[in-house]
Amino acid sequence: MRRLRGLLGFDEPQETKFFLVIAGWGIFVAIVYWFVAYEPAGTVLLGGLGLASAVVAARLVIAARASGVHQEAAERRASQEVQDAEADLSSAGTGGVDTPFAAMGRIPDPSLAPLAVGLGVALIALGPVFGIAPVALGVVPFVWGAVLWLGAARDEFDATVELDPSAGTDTIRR
Amino acid sequence: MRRARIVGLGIALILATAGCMPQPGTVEGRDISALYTGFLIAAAVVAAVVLVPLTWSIVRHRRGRDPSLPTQHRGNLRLEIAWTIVPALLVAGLFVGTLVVLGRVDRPDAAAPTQIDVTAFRWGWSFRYPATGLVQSGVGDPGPEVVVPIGTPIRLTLTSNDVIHSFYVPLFLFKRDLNPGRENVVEFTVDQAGTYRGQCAEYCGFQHYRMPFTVRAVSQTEFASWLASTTAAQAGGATSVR
Amino acid sequence: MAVLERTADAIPQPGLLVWLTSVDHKRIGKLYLTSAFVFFLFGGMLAQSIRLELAVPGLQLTDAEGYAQLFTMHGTIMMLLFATPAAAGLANYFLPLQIGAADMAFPRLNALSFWLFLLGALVVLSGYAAVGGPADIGWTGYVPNAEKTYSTTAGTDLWLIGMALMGFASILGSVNFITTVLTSRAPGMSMFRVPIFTWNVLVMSVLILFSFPVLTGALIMLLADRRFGATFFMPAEGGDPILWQHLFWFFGHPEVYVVILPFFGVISEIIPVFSRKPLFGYRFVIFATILIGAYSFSVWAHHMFVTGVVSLPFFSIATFIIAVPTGIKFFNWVATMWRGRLSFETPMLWAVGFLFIFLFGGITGVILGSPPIDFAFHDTYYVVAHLHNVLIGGTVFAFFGAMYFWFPKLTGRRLSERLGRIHFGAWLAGFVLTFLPQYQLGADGMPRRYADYPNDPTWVVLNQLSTAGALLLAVGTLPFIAAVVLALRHPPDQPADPWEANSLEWATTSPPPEHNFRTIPPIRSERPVFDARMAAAAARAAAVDDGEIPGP
Repeated sequence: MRRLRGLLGFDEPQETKFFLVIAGWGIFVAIVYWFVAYEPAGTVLLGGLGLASAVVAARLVIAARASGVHQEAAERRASQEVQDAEADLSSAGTGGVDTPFAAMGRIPDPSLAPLAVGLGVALIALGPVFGIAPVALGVVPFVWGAVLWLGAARDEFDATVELDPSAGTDTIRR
Repeated sequence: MRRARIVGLGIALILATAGCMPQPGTVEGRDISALYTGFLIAAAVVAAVVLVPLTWSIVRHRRGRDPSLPTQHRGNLRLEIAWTIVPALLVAGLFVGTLVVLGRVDRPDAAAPTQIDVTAFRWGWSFRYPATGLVQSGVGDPGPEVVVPIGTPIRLTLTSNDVIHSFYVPLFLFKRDLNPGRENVVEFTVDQAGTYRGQCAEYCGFQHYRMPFTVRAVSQTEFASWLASTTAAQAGGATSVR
Repeated sequence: MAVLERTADAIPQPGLLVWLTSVDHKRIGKLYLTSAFVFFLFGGMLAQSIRLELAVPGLQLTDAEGYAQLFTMHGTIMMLLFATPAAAGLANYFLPLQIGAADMAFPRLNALSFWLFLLGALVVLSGYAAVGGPADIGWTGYVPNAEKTYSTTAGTDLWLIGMALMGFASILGSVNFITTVLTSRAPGMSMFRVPIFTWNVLVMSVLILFSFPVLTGALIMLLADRRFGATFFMPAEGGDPILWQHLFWFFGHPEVYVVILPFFGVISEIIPVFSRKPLFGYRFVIFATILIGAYSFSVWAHHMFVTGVVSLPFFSIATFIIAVPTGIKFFNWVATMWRGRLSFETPMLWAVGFLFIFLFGGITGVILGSPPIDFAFHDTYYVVAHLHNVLIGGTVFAFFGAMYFWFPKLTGRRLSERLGRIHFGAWLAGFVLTFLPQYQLGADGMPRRYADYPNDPTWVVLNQLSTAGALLLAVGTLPFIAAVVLALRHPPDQPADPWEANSLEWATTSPPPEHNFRTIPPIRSERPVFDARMAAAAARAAAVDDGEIPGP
């Protein structure tokens, strides 16, 4: 029974189940559609939807298993459900504690990087109509913005690891 | 109660303007019209089931000066089941009706239909009668005329020379696309003699609105003689392009 | 790095740079909403041009090519430059607030989504400056008509590129929304305590995630046909024009649910507040939303019934099935109002108007889902009437309702009730006058996308009624603009919870501080603010009983 549950993904975390359900549904409808309509375009689209979701689900499952978080997360979830059921009013929400955002993660500083990357992408996309000129023009803000963005992300990641070393491993946070 | 009657009248008026179909000139059109009437009745029932309690609630359940909270009902499983099952049955019924009419309207299976090959192009039509090789074609307004016999199935083979067009005769309650590189086959039986306007109903470029055609439905004997004489005239050099 | 040492209330200098560099979901939400409304006004002006042209037979205002550009750009602007970003704007601003988060999961990606959207919109609109004018292929871009042979100008290529950019923006946004909902909920907020608006945004995001890439692919294929010698859609070279329709509508049908689901969510937020009861059947409404989302992927070819090459029964039954969960939502909305204590401030007016009007649009949608009936009505004004019925009665009415409901939270001011009533009345009457005659026009046989029509007296009268209604809609938008301008002249004076509402966005100030919440009330149901208000009232009553504070 437990093996069946494990195989069908009942004990997976919420986000994995989310993508597994979509994958199963997409593939199911694709099969039904094929035998009703024998129409290739729609079948490929529906099946593709299911497969794409299956790929995401597989990635999530593999990543979780690989980092060994899966077991302890399942145990933590089981106890969390008990805790939720028993929790009284004052312990839910933030329990009246100030400035909760620090506990939920850091927010990046304002930055020109998104605008720069967007501008770059838009200019590059004009290539098919206007030729090489907008492509050459667009590469500049795109690269500059991407470097700025990735640099800031790397700095923020390092700072987070300083504060909480266990967050540095490739885990799925609960 | 007066308000409820006004609302009922309003709904009836609105449904009356919701699109009355014209009197169709084909056997299949009658089936479609009957199906539509069935749908309108179902629509009126559904509208009433939603709008009557809604209107009642708007009139009778106002807060006024009462600051207290009403009973905080969160749900009712029986109601949820009811208003899932009943609409499901209703749409199942509509689907069955649809399948029945579809079987009568969309099945080219007549034994000896009058065959006409239709080709659309930017911006006109060409009608060819393979029985004699007669071609009636035309562009713009008023466009060509296709003559058909009443009381016997007519089979059209539809294709396009360039972009997608659509063969639409409003009074037949029918249309079908003409796709380039493909043939569509449709069949219907006209049972009212007369002249019917036809139009293109798939955007095909700037003159899309100016490529009508006319379907002239005549008795079978008249059709036979028309076909013979017009074919002979065309073979003799007279053109049929308007 | 000073990232984690920055205080919660650091206030940057005001000015253009703030808006260009912000990664705050509230600023980005306002950028989306403002852009969407400006585009709405522009798309509305195009609609007025269409209706003025059709008021009288003959081409008076424009020629056939200009008319094609009018209906193409009107449709594109309303669907992709107004409805989709309006939904994104509301979602951006309110989803993090409703789940008690400080911001979206990926704030910089969020900003990128907005800029890609705006730049894509500008690329589409740049067709107006191009030689030959903007795209003229219909917002559905059917081939072969959209191929280079028949649509020769750069406007169409710019349309394709701009649409792809906007699609990309939506896809990135959907990744952000899904991740935020799955990972950033406040403690105690299980999925079945998440507000319905957020649930609808979640399902909308799934729809975007799996349908927009198909559009992007189709756009690239058509661009390749037009510019790079490909022959995907050219029958003479072995391609297939019908393939475009499959690809476009596989995107296109989920797209219409993308632009209605968040607005269903808005209605589900407004009705409980102004009925003073919880949403009836909360879990069933969620299941219905999920079913609608799932089924929206299996109905696409009901747009293709007359092509002669699709399975009519499959798509017909799927279209009928979708009506059932939509009906479930409707019945639950009415049941929420039933035996409530209803009050009809402007947000509730729009919600009730939505119920009346969208009902008819949904019904005519089911009618069109029957292929034999569709053979008569496809590509006529019956379809035009139906689509505007659901888009205006649904998206636009709920959008205005959201504006009146959430304006205090967005700006700290309230919109004038008086102007709101005038606005609503004009739009209710204007909608009926503009679009009900179009149902009859379609039944009488007037095709859509016709620049001109024969001088049939019935057709002329119906067209003129419709044009009169359109003018009423135009004039009726002015009270809303006036209300916004007047309100913004006031200093902010609204409390956290002016409507006595239910969800977490009302637990913080109006407007919220930079990271949204200083404290979050306990979350034990889908109405945490309501629960907190009841708990506070009970505590006050107990204190009065104990003699600690004087009674009323």
